[in-house]
Amino acid sequence: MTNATVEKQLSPAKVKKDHYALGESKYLGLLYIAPWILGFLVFTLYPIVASLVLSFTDCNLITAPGFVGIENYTSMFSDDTFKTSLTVTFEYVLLEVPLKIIISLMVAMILNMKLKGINFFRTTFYIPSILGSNVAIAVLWKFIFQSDGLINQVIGLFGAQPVSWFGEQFPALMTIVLLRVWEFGSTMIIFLAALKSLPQDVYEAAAVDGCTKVKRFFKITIPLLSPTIFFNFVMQLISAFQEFNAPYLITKGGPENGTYLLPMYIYDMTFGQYKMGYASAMSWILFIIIMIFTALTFKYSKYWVFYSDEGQGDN
Amino acid sequence: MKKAIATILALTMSIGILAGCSTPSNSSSKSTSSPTASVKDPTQDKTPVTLRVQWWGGDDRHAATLKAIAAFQKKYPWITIKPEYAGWDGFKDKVTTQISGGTAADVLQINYDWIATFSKDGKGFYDLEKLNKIIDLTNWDETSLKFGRSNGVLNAIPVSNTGRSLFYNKTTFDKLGVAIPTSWDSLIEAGKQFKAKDPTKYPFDLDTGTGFTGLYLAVVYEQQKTGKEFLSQDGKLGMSADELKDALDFYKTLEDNHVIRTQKQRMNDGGETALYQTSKFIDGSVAGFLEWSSSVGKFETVLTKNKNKQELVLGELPILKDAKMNGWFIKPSLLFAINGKTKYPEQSALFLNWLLNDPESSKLLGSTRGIPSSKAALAALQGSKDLEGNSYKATEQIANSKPSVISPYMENTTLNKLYKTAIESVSYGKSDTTQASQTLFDKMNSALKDIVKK
Repeated sequence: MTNATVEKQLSPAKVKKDHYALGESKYLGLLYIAPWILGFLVFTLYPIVASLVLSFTDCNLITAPGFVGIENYTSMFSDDTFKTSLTVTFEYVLLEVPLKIIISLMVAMILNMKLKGINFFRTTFYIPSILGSNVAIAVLWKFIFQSDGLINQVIGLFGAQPVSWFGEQFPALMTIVLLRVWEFGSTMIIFLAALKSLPQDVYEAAAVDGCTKVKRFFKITIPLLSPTIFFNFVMQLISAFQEFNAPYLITKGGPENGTYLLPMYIYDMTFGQYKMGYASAMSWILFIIIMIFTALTFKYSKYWVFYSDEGQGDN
Repeated sequence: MKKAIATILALTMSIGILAGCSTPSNSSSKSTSSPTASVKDPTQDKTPVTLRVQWWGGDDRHAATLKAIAAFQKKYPWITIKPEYAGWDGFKDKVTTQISGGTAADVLQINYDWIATFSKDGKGFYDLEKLNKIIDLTNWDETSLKFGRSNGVLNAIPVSNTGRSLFYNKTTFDKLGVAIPTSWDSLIEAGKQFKAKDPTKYPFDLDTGTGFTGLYLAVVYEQQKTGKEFLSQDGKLGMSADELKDALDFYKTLEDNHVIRTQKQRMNDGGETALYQTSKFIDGSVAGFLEWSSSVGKFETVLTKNKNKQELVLGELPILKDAKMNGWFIKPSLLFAINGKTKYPEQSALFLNWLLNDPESSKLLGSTRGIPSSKAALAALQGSKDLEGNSYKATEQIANSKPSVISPYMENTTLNKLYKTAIESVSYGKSDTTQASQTLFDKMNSALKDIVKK
């Protein structure tokens, strides 16, 4: 029994109208989003298709491109810098995504408490993410992580040894990770909103049964929040793989390519070495990698994400 | 009604697609518009015009150029100049995008090797000889102008010549009682003395940020030692892997003897910030550097504008006792070109001629772009302080030694990355100089094959 027949049975008076008065057109919606569609076609779809086409050429920004087949893709296997860059990108994602999610959640939990002046703190904690991928912030980061910069001075106050932030790979990677983790605001707000909408009756029932605070967090809060965690995780994963601003502005990929994330390598390949064809090929490989990880995340989500209204958690 | 709306939408979308479909315009497409029989005289044609002028530099150059632009606009009030300026970092990337997208400025300051990249056939920039009624080209001799030619066509005018020289913070040296180095040995000796007297201070620095500076000194040393050119004009690596190893060994000696900081320490101290903006340079802890005579101004301003005024002096060019060649480098510091697709070639030429040859402009610009090779500009500077300062002295110093002209491939981005990797791997101890030099040798040769054939 199709919907059409049901509709016909329920409301025979509803005749499919052929003419609508102005303002009621079915296509009015399309008109409203036409600017977005235009923008999407010109600024998103066209470049995506163009880059796919360019990845099979030897485009160098200056002379007309010539077709080279899959040469760009095969030469990636023998490109040491590409392998280093990919490894470093994975390291970065592995560090940044979990750290950001955990810290966002922790801060959201704290801000969920009914404390005096909590609104002030909510605003303050959100401010870093408004400042966002700001070049000024990146320059500031460069200065506070210097050997005699603010961070080392604060560390010194606690009696610890100053860290060689830009001199070694792991600390340098941490400066970039910390920059993005510092911008936890929007992730935190999403968690906060989710926390506020958690059903209170579950907690009350748990309290009656004598549930400890820790158990309550891991057995109730986390599972109830799992859709939100899942959402934030996927969003953060996708954007972490595309990180460019931080390594470009703060460490320039150093030391020794230790923070040479793939998007930065792609940029250098295009504008430094004029190999836009090769860079486009690398962009598509990055895209495929992100797709694979996202797909894997979705596939395994059924094991740890519980949707309260769909009962998906009982397998 | 809905059909009409649907049609409008379809039309809008298709126009959108077509608009986005245009391929990036080639710079080799008809750049010089059909040469008019007579070039319009821009001093007579008073239609209001806006020109975009673009350059890179430090604050001293920006301030001076803006003053010169203001003076020009006073003289020719119908021409409005829109200045576009920034630091060197990332400048080439920006210009590359602009040139390939057809949005480059009318008058551009370009680097020596950009002509090879953007105008291999000579048609990438406007043919300045077509504008020789407006630009007085007699102010330069052919030996200067040839740096701006590609395929015989004059694409750009070299403003000045430059080479890297050694500069020292005399205040720090005096405080520690160390003599200003005059040779390779005394440079290394200075390192030892600094280490003994105050190990937090260093007599010299090689800013690896730009890639080539790190290797520059070692290459000069090796060229003197072997008499072989590192990189030839037509892009051939002239040294063997062994000779490169010797050069890297020399670099290591500088680090080991406290002459310069290790890469790790440099990164630690200032990260990727340019040396003249780091606190260690400003407070005099790093007391020497290798810099182009045409841009030493930005270092000088930093030291002299300081509350504790410090003195910058030019050091002698170290030469091996039995050097087989001078080894030091000279290159056109920067050139000015006119966009091949500019709408206002005559007005652009008018501005260019004024900027480079006018006495008032020359006095305002001073030595912020090095010591000008234009005869008119040089004449205007006679007796001024600019012809006494470090920039002038260094330019003369390089010109009077018997320098080699830098290969246009020397500062290529790919090669720069290789130089940086070589220095870093040796400094961080990832490889010994034998491995690093072999890698450098192999990678440079394969990269050059790629670059030169383009």
